[in-house]
Amino acid sequence: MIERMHAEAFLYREARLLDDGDLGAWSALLTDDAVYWVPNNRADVEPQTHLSIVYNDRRQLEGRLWRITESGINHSQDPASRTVRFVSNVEVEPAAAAGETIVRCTLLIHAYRGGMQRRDGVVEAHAARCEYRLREASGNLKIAFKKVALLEMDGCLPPMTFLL
Amino acid sequence: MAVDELSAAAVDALVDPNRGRLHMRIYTDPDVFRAEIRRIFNTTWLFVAHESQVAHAGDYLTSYMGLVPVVVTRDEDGGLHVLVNRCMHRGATICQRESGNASFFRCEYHAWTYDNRGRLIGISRPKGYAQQELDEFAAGLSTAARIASYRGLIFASFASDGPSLDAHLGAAKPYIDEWADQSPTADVRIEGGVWKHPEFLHRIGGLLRARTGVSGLRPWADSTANGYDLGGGHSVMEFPRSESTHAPEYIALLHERLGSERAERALAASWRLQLFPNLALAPTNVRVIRPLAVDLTEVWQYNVTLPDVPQSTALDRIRSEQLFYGPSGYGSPDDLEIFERIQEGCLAATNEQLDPYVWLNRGLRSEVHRADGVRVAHTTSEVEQRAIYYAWSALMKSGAPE
Repeated sequence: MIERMHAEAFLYREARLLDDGDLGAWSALLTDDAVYWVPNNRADVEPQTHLSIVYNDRRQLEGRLWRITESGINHSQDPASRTVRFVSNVEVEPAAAAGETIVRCTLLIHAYRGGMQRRDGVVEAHAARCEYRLREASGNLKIAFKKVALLEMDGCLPPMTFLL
Repeated sequence: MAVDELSAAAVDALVDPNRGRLHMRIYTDPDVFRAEIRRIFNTTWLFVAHESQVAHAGDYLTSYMGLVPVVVTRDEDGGLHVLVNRCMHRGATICQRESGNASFFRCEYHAWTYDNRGRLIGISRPKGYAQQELDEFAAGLSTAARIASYRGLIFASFASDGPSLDAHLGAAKPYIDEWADQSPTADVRIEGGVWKHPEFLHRIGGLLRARTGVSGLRPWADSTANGYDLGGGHSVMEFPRSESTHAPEYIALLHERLGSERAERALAASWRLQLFPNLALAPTNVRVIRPLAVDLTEVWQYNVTLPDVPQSTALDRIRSEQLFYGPSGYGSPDDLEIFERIQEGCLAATNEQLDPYVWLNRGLRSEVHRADGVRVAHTTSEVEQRAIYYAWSALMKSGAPE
């Protein structure tokens, strides 16, 4: 199990990569069997039988990154959302598997699409409770599981095609 | 609400079927929206719930009919009711939740209490009323005038007269049959989650898909999918029926229950059905459309679950569903973005000197008019979108003042 300070530094770095739009570097933080989950309606549902906002394995995530960065058909990210995210309330606890740590935190993302003709754009704020399973392998820390449970997960959600 | 004065001639100026074009006022003018609510949503059949959402005695689900909040209830004898969610006394809503189970609904203002059939069964401090004063409330809650179900889909109408549900659904019924036939045990459920989208476009019935942009045409241009105007405002985009790629045990289960012909049709079902004016059906999802304002619509997209299919089939369905749809899917958010852009572009309609039209004329002259009244064309034609506005125009004109 890793120390809280170690986990915090990792999460801050992840947040910076996502805010920088450096999705390649972010992708390198994932294990090959990583799962990225944004639950829908409730945080405690079974993702095999209940719709998720996102439930992606590594391969699907690569497809998602391609859509955002290269496809040219991701209209909802044209122009792209700029984000600033705040990570706090970080806690660590042992995971079932050796070499893994459960990390919980709260997340506040502010997102804005600038440079548009439309003048009524607003800063969207999304608060979430997150759960990670971080794995240490050959000296590196990687994300094996990331769950982002949005505060408004049972409400009317705008398109959210940037990574949370 | 202002008096609805949109004349039949004014409606004709909004929808031009001969040239396949719409006036953008449809998307910007609050008077058109008010007329639409009165003449379409307040009269025609509207989808309100699926039987599985109110399966047991006491189950209820809140929904909307046009702008009106309603509660769909199942009483202790199994009967269905569509109650207007409004206390007859001072008008507060009597039920606050999305869904639940209750025999009674109590307004929390003065504790007026109604049973799940809408009857007023108690009020606080009744001695303050003379009998004559209380008699004003004898009818209980307002209700939909008619309720009817087809293959588990519950519809209601505020009009006591008009076409039967059967007549309303018309040529769309075989598709609903295939949808309901998907389950090996006749148990199709709306459960397993809902996505809720705000859509900043007034789409009548949310049905006008913006398949006019680059990404809109590209995926379909080489496909042999067809679009059908089924009449009554209903339309369907149907992909070619091909050999089933479903799990063998699912195929076997369905054949066993339905016989080969029906089973094959259900298994090969690959279409998107749009039922005028507030429902869209696909084998894996149900979309319920709620108009809010001339430039704002809300769409709830429910998952469709088949409880008795093999686990691999269930998993395939939910995985492919959430890859494409939902607020972070590969498809829906980009559609919504285009709808917002249309809404923005339609502000041009505020200047009468400008060309005010949105065009739906692609394939208008080459579409095939079948003997049964159905119009068919390749799906990249705009036959499905035109279907909506033929019905829209007819209903808007029939409700116009003399």
